[in-house]
Amino acid sequence: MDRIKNETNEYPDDAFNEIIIGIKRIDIPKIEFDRKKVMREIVRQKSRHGIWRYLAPVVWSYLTISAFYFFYYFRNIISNIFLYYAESKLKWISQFLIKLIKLVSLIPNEVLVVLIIVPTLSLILVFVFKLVLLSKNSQRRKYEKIF
Amino acid sequence: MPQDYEIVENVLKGEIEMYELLMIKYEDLIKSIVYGMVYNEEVTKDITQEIFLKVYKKLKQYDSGYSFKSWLTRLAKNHTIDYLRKTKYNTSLNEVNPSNFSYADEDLTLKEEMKLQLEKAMLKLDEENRMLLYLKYHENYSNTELSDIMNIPMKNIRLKLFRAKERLKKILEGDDYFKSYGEVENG
Repeated sequence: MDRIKNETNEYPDDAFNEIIIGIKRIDIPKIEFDRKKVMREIVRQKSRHGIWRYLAPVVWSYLTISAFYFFYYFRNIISNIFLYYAESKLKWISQFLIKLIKLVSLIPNEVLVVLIIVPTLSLILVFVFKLVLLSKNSQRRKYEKIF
Repeated sequence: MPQDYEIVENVLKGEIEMYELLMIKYEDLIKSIVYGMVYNEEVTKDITQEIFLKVYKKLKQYDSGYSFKSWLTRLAKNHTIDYLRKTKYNTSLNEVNPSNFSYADEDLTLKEEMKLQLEKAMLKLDEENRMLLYLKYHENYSNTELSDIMNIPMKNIRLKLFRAKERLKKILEGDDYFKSYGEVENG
């Protein structure tokens, strides 16, 4: 290959004329392609994505609140579990978590109820409000009509 | 027709219907590139649809400072090669379908046979070399564009092309392609 390169100072095409012409002559058959199908799929995915965009924060917030709730109501059991490990290798983490649980226990029930109910209600309100807005989204309907 | 980057900007702003303009403009190119890799009409149709869906999803990543055609071709190339590797795509010789095959005209038959031979030989090449040769000689991409699309340093493009042609030639030599070529060219 180096010999050829040195002789011509480049890679010669002459030896491959038949191949080059052959590739140029490859015929592309008429292939029906449904553009509308692609557009419909895009709109469908966009709509689905749109709802999830509003739903996702609500779901995540509920999961966080539920985790907190679970932690609060089973704090004694969890605390005992950590106490069991308090003398082992996980000493530092366990002691930190026990302190955290004690701190959470200091929160009065009334405050806890407010802490949970207020964000929950506001999240529901935001979700409903955005859902109404979404259903009124004329652009989405316009695309659905077009495609 | 507006420039590609203008269409992309409008699509990103929410005018989804503008995306159809891009599809109209590049549909034939994508179909051709995919067909040049798979030589099967049904598979070409499916992959083309997947590519246009993927392009829409990745449209935010397009940098308007670069050629949209090259960006699109690179995406199409990657998607097609991924498809071939994932499905271990291997078109059997029977599936390569010579179009407009006519037994009445001997000369035409010979040409069609040669076309079939070349398509089979192309399928025996590895995906990267097949794509490289197809983009260069069928779609007439420049070496600069090829360097960008195939992610090959500019200085190596000619060498890569040369080696790809050598490999294809070796495959074709085993199929008496050049003997047939001589018969057709000499009438």
